[in-house]
Amino acid sequence: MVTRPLLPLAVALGTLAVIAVALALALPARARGRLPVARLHRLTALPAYARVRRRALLRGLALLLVAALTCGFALAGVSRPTERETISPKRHLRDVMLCLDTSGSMIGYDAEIIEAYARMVDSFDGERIGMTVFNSTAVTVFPLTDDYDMASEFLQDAYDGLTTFGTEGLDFLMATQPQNVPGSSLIGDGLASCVEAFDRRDEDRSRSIVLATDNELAGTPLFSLDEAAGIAEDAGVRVYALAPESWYFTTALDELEAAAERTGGALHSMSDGAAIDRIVASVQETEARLTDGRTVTLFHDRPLVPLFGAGLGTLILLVAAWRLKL
Amino acid sequence: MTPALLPRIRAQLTLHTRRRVSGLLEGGRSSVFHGRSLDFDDLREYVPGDEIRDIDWKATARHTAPLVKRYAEHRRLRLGLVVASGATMDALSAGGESKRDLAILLAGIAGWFAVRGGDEVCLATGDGHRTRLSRPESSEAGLEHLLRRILSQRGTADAQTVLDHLAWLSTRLRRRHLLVVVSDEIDLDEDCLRLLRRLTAHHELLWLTVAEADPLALAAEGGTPYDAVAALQAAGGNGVRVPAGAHVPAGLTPDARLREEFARAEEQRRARTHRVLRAAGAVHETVGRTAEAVPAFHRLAERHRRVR
Repeated sequence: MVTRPLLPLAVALGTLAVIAVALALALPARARGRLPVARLHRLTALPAYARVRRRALLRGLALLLVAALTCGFALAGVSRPTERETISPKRHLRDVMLCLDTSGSMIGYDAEIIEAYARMVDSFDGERIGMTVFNSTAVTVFPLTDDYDMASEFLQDAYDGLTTFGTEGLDFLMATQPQNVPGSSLIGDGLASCVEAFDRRDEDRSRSIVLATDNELAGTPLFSLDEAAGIAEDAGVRVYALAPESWYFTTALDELEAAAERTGGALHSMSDGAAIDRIVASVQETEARLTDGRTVTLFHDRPLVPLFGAGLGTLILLVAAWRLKL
Repeated sequence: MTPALLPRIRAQLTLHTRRRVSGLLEGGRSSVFHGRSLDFDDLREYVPGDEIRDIDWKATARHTAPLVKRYAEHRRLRLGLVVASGATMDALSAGGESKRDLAILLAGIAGWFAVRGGDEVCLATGDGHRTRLSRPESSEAGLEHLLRRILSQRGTADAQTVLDHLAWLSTRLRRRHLLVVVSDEIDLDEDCLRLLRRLTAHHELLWLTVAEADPLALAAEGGTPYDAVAALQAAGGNGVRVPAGAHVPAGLTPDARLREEFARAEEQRRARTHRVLRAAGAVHETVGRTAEAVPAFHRLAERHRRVR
């Protein structure tokens, strides 16, 4: 819309244009001082002449159209077209680390957890996923990646290894319990290792750990669970703990829950295989809710089409002017 | 006051006749324009165009109408200029000059030879409504006056052609005339043959055509040729009018087929004109520009001499 101060100018210019066109149409050729000839009908009565005039008319109309389009494109280009894009970075800025306890007490559940994870990978789109296993020491199975084919392969190997106790696929049992490290099930150390596995620390990303453990400590860890939770909290990592149900060692689970809640996560208990799916879904949902509000609106300049159109139109008009010797 | 027309024409003549054709034309002309004969034939009633000095006043006094003396006609060949002066003459000739100026030049050349030989010249031309036949003139001043009559019709809306003048003259010219017709390219077809034959039976007929400008060539050079007069579209007979001011747009794309078609049509029309005039026994020459005027007139006179 024309802004108010320019409105009278636009009206005046439009009126002038109308008057100019009317004058050009009203003035006979004689008044424009051209060459008088007699008996022009000898030429104009020829069918070939009618054809040439019709062609000239069509060409003129085409040129007028090109000129109008060029003007339109030029106006569109002057108005600086932009494209508005609203990005919700929730998916592409999300890292999920699976942190799996492979100590003897957890071995019965690990296969199920991995199975659930393998199913979950199929529903991912953009998130990065990583996996670390720990017992007395932590081993990165695969770092954070969005290469889901590779992740699926590793999860399949891990599943094979856990179901056959290391005879097939990946053997986590030997790898995570070296001879020179005393103790086993060093949960604090494992969690700290998982936190350290996150990369791109300078980026503002949503980071979460799914920590599957029963928190049955056997040995002396470098970090207590509470200290490890502190590290996670400092790194902005939320820890979702996943523990088998237990009626005997409630203090261990209470401690785990406290650590998870300190980082902003929660404790989920798994009673059966289906529960794991539910838990993973809930983890995803929580993360989505927590990062949903961060939408960014971007304005991109899109001058290419109008400017290209205006340039092409000008080129056509120039060529036509040259060809018609205007 | 417009400058005198004759000096310009005389200048053209001296320019072109100095070298070769002067003597030739003298010969041809002298046999055409004889001096006044004394061989009295009979008396008849006066008709417009007769000379005043031919009136037999004594016989007239005894009669109710003026009577003129009639001499043996073959010796009294008078030059009759029949010049187109209608609206189409204000258009351009093939050479790019006004057809009217070119017609005045051609009429002036013919008239000047007659006047210089002591013969009389009369002019039949349109006055805007109908044909007017002038009094015979035998002086340069009189010729100048005649030529000015052609010039005075500039800007007329007259649609008459020389055919109208000739039709009018064919019933009125008693005496044998040397008729020099100066016209632009009118449509001459077999229908005109009757009229032309009637004229050539009584008179000598010399026809000078002023060639029309080629509108396609003008448009190709960047001009905008427009029709100076409204003309009925003869071709096809569908009655479509080309309105006055209709024009060929400048820079109309040169189209080989159109040019070819137009050239062929024009060629046919010119051939027909030539055929008709030859069939009628008239001598014909075409002039496109000033430079061609005197040579064309010489050719015309020589061919006329050979024909007789």
